[in-house]
Amino acid sequence: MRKIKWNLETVLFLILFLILVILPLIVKSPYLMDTAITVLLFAFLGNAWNIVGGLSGQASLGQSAYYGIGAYTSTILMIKFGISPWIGMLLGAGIASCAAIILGYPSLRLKGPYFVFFTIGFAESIRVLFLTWDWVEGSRGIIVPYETGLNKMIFFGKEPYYYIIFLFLILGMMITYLIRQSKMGRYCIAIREDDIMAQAIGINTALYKTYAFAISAALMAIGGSFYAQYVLFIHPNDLMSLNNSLIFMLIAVAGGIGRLFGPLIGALAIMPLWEYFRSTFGGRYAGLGIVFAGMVILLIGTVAPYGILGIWDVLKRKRTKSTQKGGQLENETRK
Amino acid sequence: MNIISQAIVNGILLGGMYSLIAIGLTLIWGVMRIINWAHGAMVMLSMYLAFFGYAFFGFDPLISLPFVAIIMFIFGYFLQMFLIQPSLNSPWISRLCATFGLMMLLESLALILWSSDWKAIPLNYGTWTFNMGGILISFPRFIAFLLALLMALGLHLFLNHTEMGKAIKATAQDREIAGLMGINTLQIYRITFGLGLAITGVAGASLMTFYYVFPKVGFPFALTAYIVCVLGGLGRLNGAILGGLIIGVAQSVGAYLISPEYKMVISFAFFLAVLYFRPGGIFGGVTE
Repeated sequence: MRKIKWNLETVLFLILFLILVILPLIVKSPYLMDTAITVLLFAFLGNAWNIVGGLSGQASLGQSAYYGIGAYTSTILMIKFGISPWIGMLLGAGIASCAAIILGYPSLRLKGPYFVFFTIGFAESIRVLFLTWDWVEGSRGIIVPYETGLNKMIFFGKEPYYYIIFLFLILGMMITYLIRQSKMGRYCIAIREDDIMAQAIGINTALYKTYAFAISAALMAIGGSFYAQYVLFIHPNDLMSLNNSLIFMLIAVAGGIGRLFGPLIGALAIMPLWEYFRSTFGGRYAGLGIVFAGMVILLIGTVAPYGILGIWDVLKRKRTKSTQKGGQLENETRK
Repeated sequence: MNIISQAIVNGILLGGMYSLIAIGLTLIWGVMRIINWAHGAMVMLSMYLAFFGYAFFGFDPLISLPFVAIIMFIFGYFLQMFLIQPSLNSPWISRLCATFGLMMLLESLALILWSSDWKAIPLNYGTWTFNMGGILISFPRFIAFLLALLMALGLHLFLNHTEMGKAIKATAQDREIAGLMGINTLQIYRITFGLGLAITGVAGASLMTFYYVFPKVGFPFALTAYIVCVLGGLGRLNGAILGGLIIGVAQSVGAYLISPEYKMVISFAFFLAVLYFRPGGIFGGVTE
């Protein structure tokens, strides 16, 4: 174990953690709780994206397919076979990672835009398959029957959901942290920085990319199962749309791509406003949330490529005037 | 048998449309090495422009076509100046964000401003067909197909026989050397981006003669156009034309043989097959 450094960042994150722990005790409004749950869910999903996109540099825009696969697996198992979603969730994670291994494999040779095409096309195909697949109710979507109970993972209040997703988020972030500390994480970063160079020094790039895909897909599927049990309605267009994949990417990139706390910061910065727009303006003005997200994503592309944590680094460096190493990606040699 | 040949003809006409959309994309990629992920939104925008040309001035889409192209050119010119150029220094994932963000922005702005209603222009020639040996050919689709061929030919002539076109080609080959030869490469980038969008404008306006417009209309077209580009080799004009025709026929015949819903899956299967067997596209090309 490393000794904890008591600098400003550690203190800020501890405060944030405490606030997140006691939040349900203070906030009683269901609307705000819903927003908080959405923030945590998307932080969790952004974290899952970060393993593939941030850590290994594979900007996959097909991750929403695994999100949908997870939701569908646990829901189908529950409705048709009476299996508890807790088990269904794990099975869904398994199926999603198998799908990621099988379907991730052809994408390993692809780079840059080809890879992005591939992932988008993959997710779109899966979405169409689910839309036309009668056994899973196709385009009608599935309504999860409302029967509360711990084994059904359906609760009356919002607090249990909040703590479940909070726990998931912590676990997800711990997985990211462990990956980063391990040999695999170093390999993934090497692949991100320079694929060919990584291969030249003897890293099995295909194997480690596949690992990253499988882990990310499993986490996505768990997020999907949670979504199904929380919203109680699943539909291919809600789960597997390109917009979802974009939001996962947006959250990870907005916070600071490849950074451990990036997705959480990104979700905290974006999702509350998004939810506000969505709930306050009905009908066509619900699109204002997407306008806002689009603007953020656009600004990140043009002005602040390293996200909020990147800006934070710049500010900190200005203040301390030290020449210490900044963001993870700042050493990147790619143009 | 007759239905199959009808499906093939329909596919060729559809493929012309895909080619036209893909040409703008492939031009931008070929010169600037960036993918315009907002291409679908550009198609949508030019379709709306053509629609408003009809709604406000009563212009036929084919008459408003040059105006749409000019507006899209100006839009692209400034877009490159203020949005794409600053993003070129970012790492590639952030660069991806710039145009994807633009797509989300434009699509949802269109939704807010113009609502999600499907809008179409009632044209008296919109449903004209002519019969050729038992095969029905839709007149507006045929016009769009001809326009695609015309645009490709025009672009080819422009790139090979004018000073500006040669400058664009030089910049595509080697930006630094082109700069040393006195070519203002930033200006070339702006013009290329504008040109790419102008061609998309032509596509959008001619699409408006037989199709309806709504905020999310562009993305399926753009997705197919990406596949067409990969099929023909990114950055190749002749590849975009041939790729468009192949995908068009595959989709049309596949829709007849399997089910129209699987259009996307069929093109995706094609995309996979091409990447497996010929990663540089059917003509070979830049793989990066």
